[in-house]
Formats: sequence, structure tokens, C-alpha cells
Amino acid sequence: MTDVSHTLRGRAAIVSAATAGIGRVGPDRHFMELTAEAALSALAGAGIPPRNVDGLFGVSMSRTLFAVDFAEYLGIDPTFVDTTQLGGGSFEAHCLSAAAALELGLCRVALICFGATTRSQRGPWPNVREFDPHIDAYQAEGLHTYALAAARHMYQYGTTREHLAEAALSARRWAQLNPRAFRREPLTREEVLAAKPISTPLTSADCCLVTDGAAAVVMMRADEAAAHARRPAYFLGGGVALSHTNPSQMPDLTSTAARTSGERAYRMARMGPTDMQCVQLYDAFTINVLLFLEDLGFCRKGDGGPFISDGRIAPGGALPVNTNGGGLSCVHPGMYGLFMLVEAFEQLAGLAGERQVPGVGTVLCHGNGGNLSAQVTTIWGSRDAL
Amino acid sequence: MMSRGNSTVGPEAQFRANLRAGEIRLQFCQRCHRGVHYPRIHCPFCSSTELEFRTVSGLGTVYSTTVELRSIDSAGAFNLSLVDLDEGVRILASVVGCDPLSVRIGQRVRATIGIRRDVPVVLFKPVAALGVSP
Repeated sequence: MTDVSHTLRGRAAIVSAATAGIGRVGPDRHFMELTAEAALSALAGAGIPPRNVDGLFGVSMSRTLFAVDFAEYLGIDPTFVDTTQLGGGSFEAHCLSAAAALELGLCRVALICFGATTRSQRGPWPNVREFDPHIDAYQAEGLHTYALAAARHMYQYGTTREHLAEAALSARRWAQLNPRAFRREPLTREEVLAAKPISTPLTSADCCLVTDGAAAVVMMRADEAAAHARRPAYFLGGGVALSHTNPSQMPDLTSTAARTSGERAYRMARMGPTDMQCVQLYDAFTINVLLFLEDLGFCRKGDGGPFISDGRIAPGGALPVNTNGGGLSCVHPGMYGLFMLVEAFEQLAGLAGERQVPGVGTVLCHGNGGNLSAQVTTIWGSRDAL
Repeated sequence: MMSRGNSTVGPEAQFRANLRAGEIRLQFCQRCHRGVHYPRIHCPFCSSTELEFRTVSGLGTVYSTTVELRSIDSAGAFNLSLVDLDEGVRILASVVGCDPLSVRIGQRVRATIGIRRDVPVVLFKPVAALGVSP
């Protein structure tokens, strides 16, 4: 097989990004309205009329035919569509296919979008899978895989509840610098350690928020990006890796397919973990932060707990991680991946306000989906990183 | 012309039928000899379609374990574990017949058959608790 992936490095860029309705919008807002609000806002930021969108990407938690429905809602006629569903990290995969589609000329303006009113609608999440006796007969849900991974990580590497608490505390400190974050009140170690048990060893403080929210990013070819953004976020690399759905099929619960997706993205970007100046990790649960820091090469396998324990990933630390406050403290409407991409763009564009990482030139965005199942790593850079 | 369905029994239905008959039989690949669970039409390791159901010892070791505590007021806490059978197959199941919070990684367990959500499934009991009704 010919490896042509290197040809995508630096060939596309995010030119604009926006969010809408982060938090709780109430029962009188429809998720399509929120999604469109984010999309229109992102397009306006790039000076692009909605009718010019010819590449549509994204998924919905409640609409199987999301692209069909959302193209109708926006009134657009896309020539290229990708609604690949990999769970919460789908959007990082959409960036990879958008970069490829832009490079091949299949579209010129790629809009990636998502929205949900998960907090306001209060109903059960739509079940998008039929009854699987090997999972559902045991009442196993997504969070149980993360609990099983955390339990095994503790057993194998001596990781403690205090280590997991560090991830929650760091996220909250970043959220306090982000006016859009949903949870900004002070959080103490004692509160985290005393939180309500959910599924051992995880407590409510280890679990992401359930919020409303929508996000959108606009990608264009790099040679067109400069006309639409002062500081585009260039796509440097992307990699997808799938390992399992049933946790019994995951060979080692302490080691995720992020290792593979990361290697693929690093190879395309011709970079490694030491080149990453800011990191967005899909923190559906605190254990994710440890697992992904290890699997993406920021520390040795098993060392994730001690690695984050000195405030290293918090504001002022050596490695800024989840600078918007993450799924743990900023936003998580059931799928979080696109909000990380918004944050990557804002950091590289110098639009991150109080939480701005000074002089940041590279950002890694790592999406996760399902039961630690789908891992998608993307790497973004400023013009200097090209 | 009316099309006719193929009425052979798939491996998933065969696995459940065996459980209903009181037998825990798992698939093993006749080419690479690895255990395959959940049941499939081919071996995911070597792609052979020569899989056969074999009776297993049922003895295994807990690889990881969690206790769901959200529904403690209604349905009660329940255990979910990954168990490595001695035959080299990992199964997602519940350890029953003991305090769910007492289950430990590394603990020896033995398979049994139970009904969950109207489906016959593999469950595990601590080896020491064998013979004790749940």
C-alpha cells in the first residue's frame, strides 16, 4: 500500500470555529437550532456565506440521517458529505477526511458541526445499538469500561484516587479561566475525594458533565485559508485506530489504541510528543487523561498519575492539557470531540483570553469514542509549525 | 420466484442454545487454536472459518472488576467483571453469589449459567462460594 498520508500535512486549516449554548439552554431550544447557531457563527467568522458550504461533516446523537437533515436546515447543497460515527471523537476523524476531501478538490468549504440539548431534554440518551446480549444482558454501559480500566490501572501501576483527582482539579482550574465553561466554582481535593460513588473506583467527580452545547469548525485548503483567517490552525497530522467495542476484546485495559492513532498522526506531522505545546484529550472520565498521556508518549505507561500530580497539566504547568476545562468542567453534551477542536483553533489563533497558552504553536487534539473503542489523534499548528 | 432463507443456526444462536441446555461451550479456532468469544463465523486472529464449540473448565481469574453503585436504592449494586478463563478467553460478565464489593482482581472464579434480561448468560461465582445458592 502506498503511503500518501504525508501529502496532507499542512494542506488544510481550520479558518474559524464557534460554539453555542454551552451549559443549559432550557426546554425551548431545539438542538438543530443550536447546531445551526454554531455553524452560522463559525461561517460568519470566516466571512463565508452558508450557501458556499460544499462539504458537510458531523454526527448527531439522535439523527441517523444528520447530514440530510442539517443540509436541509441550513439550505445548502453539499458535494461531499461524511457523517462517520465513531462516538465522541468522530469529529477528529472528520478533520482527517475533510483534509483529504479538500486536497482532492471534492469540496472547498468543509463545515464540521455538532449540537445536542442533552442536559435540557433530560430524557434517556437515544439507544443507537440493538440489544447485544454480551454487553446489555449484564447492564454494562460505556462508563463501566472506564471503571474497569481505572481499576486495572490502579492494580497494575499503583495509581490512586488522588491521582485521578488531579485530572479533575486541573480541569476545573482551567475552566475557571474560561467564561464559557459550565462548572467554574472552586473545587477542592477533599470534595473530589468525597464525591458520590458511581461505578468503583470512579465517582461523580471522575465523570464528565452532562450539558447542552453545539460547536462548529470551518476547514479550507491551506492556500485559501489566509484569505479567511488571520491565524489559521493548520492540519499537520491525523490518525484513526479502532480496538474493540466489548471491553473483553481489549487486550490490555491499561493501554488504548491511542498509542496507534498517535503514532499515525505523529508520522504524518513528522513530529513527536515533545513537539506538542498544548494538548486536548477527550476526558470523558479522569482515567482517560492518564491513559492518553501515557499512550500518546508524554510519559511512560503507568506513570500518568505521578506525571500530573505536580500541577504539570494545570494552568501554569509545563504541559497545558484541556485548556477549556475539558469534558470534566467545561462542556460535554454526550459528544465532546468538536469542542476540543474549537479550543485548538482558539489557542492557535490567540483568541483564548485568560486561558491563552503564551506563544503556542502546536496543539494535539485526541478524540475518544465508545468504550475506549475508537481513538483519533489530530495535530494542529500555526504557520510557523509548517 | 420466492426466495428461501437459509435456516442454519448461527454461532451466536448456537452459543445461547448450549447455555439454555446447561452447557458452557466456547469457540476455538482449529487452525491457530485460540479461543474466540463472543461467537463468530470466523477467527478474528487468523481468519480461519474452522471454529468449533468446546466445553470449557469454567475456571478463571478476575482481570478487572467494578461495582455499579448508582442504582443502589432501586435495583441494588451489581458487579461487572472481566474474567480470564484458564483456556485463554476473556469474558465480560458479573460475579454473583457474594458481596459485589468483595470481588478482587486476581480472584479465582468459576462459571455458572444464569438468566439476565431473559437471556441465558455466563456468570461467575467465587470458587470458595461454590455450592452456595445466590
